[in-house]
Amino acid sequence: MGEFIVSVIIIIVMLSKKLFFFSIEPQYSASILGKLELGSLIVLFILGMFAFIKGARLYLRGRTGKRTSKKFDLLNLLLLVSVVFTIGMSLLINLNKTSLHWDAIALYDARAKFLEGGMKFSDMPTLSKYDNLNKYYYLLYPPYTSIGHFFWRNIGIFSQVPVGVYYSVTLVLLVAIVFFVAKESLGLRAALLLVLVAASNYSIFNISIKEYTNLPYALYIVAGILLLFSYLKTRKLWLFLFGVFFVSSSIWIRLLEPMWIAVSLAFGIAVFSKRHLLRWSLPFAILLVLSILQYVSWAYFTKVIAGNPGFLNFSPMTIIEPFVAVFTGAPIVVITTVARVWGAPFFIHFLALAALLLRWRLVLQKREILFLGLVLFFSISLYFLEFYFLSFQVDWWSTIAKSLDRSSTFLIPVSGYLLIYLITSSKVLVRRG
Amino acid sequence: MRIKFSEITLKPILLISLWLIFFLSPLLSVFRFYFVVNNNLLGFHIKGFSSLLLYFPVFISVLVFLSLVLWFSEFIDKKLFTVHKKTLAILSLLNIVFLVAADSLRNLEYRNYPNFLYGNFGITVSQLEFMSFVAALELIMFLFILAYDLAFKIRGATKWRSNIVSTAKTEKASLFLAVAGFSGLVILSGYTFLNLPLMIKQEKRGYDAKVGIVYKYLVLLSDHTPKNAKVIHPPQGEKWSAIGNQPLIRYFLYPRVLISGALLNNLEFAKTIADAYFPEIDPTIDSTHWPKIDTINRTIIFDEKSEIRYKKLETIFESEEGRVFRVLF
Repeated sequence: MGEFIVSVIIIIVMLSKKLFFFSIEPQYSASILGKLELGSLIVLFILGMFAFIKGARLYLRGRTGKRTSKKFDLLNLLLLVSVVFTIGMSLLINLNKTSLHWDAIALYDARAKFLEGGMKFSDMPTLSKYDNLNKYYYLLYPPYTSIGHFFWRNIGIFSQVPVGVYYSVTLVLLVAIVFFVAKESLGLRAALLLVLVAASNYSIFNISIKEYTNLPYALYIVAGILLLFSYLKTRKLWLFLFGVFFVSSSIWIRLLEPMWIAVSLAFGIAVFSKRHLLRWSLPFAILLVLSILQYVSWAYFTKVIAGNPGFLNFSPMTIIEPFVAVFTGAPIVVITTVARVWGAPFFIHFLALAALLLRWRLVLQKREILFLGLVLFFSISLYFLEFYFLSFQVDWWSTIAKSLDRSSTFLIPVSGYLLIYLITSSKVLVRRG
Repeated sequence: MRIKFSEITLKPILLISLWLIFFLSPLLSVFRFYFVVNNNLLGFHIKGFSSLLLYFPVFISVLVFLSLVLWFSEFIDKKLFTVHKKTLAILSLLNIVFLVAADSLRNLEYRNYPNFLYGNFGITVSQLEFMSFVAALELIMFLFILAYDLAFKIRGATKWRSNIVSTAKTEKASLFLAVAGFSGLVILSGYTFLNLPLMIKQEKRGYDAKVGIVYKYLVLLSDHTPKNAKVIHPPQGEKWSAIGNQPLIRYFLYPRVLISGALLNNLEFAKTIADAYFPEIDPTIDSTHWPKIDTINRTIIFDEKSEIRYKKLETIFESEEGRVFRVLF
């Protein structure tokens, strides 16, 4: 129930931003891609609601009426207080801020300012008319965060509160969705421990006090991964529909890292069944097609409607070069650079994957664990591939690799879940008494 | 051979000795800084001695890290006895003292200026952070052993069915890696809490700290140019990373039209602009002074190369903070 309520809140936030975007971009909202993009999300939401209500009725009918009380001891209380303290510190920092961070000044909050000035997104590339280097910049990132800032500034009760508080609220939603999903499968204490190490993780806490796209992106992609994980465990339809909603709509927050590909591939492999080919291919196809639709519709908006120039060069030579360079040792340079700048989080993800690999029998038995493991593996691989190809296009690739710590934060709850699961399910340690 | 190696590495005295060297290794950095780098010791020079002293603390840290890994694998194999656990308890207490001291030193650096620690003691922040990581790992490992000793027991090899002994080995290895990974997550969380005072302080800073000293020019332009003005700014690059970054400065100058100085390389283009404003950047620093104005020949260089002739140039505002000009082409 908890994950359902949190999911509905997150979905309503996304849909209200999409509707606002449609209202100010009439040319896009009149296009077939625009209609398909918004329509598919609304259908997912409505079907998910119906599926949940239907499932809830069956559950209520099957209940015996007895409620079991859950043990809440001192340690759990301590963990809960620590989680509240962490979120409280993020809130305190955001409340006392006197300035925004560099990228928020340059892009996210700036676009909210332009919206207030009556500008629409498709007009923003014209601002760079007399800029020799940043012509693509204003539509490089989808509009989610900027519309969030615009709403925050213009909704009565929030307008007096610093916009940074919006990110502390996002952290609360992230903690809530991770907690409710983990509680079902790991238990109360382990779920509290997981949300504590996730919320207080240096990378996650750091993006909760920066007005960037990273935390909203982490919220949607983590919610999507965890709901699909729960779907694989319980086969409840609403979890799948909402999961697809979150994964596909995360593209509307950050486009540059195509992590939806990693999630779709992992999901496709995890649901694979030789005997039930349709039952396997249909959910996979829905996830993949709707994600591609979100990706293509934003690309269509930026290129066709807004006429935004791209920043990458796609000539035959730039495509062939990375393949040839495999034999000259170029991947080694990228792998060592990325691993070095990623630092401790990469080391932790690597340990989680290695620990999982050593228990491959268990992984093959449990599709949901296989799914999380594959998400981790494909995401890391995609990051390396992305930087490898980028290294042939721009010489500042190693500089932006430094932002990897921020953009990959969604993997922290995934690795955290797997590590706690592997420790608590280990047969090496047996409980005393 | 393997048993002998295991016996040696499990000797508490070895771990304590290694750990003491580990704790005292920053003193080697201090010694290196004062007597080898800054002052040639006793008048003779040993080639490589400075490098040896620089890398020895790192080597020791790696060594204690490896010894910890070995001890933990012995714990999984049920070979840690009371004496070993007492040793770990003593080391944990010492580690707490070390972590507090390391944190105080790091704060000292942040309170003063970058490289303060190295400049005064020869110790680097990254060296302290790596040592803190190793110390925190020992602390977490000890707490883990303590908690599991109270709640769990390790299943012996005989308890596994013979056909799955190999599975038991991989399960043990998997558990070890999972605990190491989770310890890493706990350390990153601890790092957040240790850094909270610093983060609170940093986030209270205004735009003058985040954008830099050039923020004053943005205030001047915002206060002394009309909202429909055209504003020329320096070309984007290393010299003017903030004031040359058009998306960044637009936040403070919107809705003014911004023109990168890099584009002003010919008079025809300048004439299409006709009337614009610009600030004088760093008038006292020759390398970053922008733009170059020649009032005798009535020319200005905006793109670091091309001289553009102007019709009229007037100072709109002048103060200690700087000057704002209006130019007509």
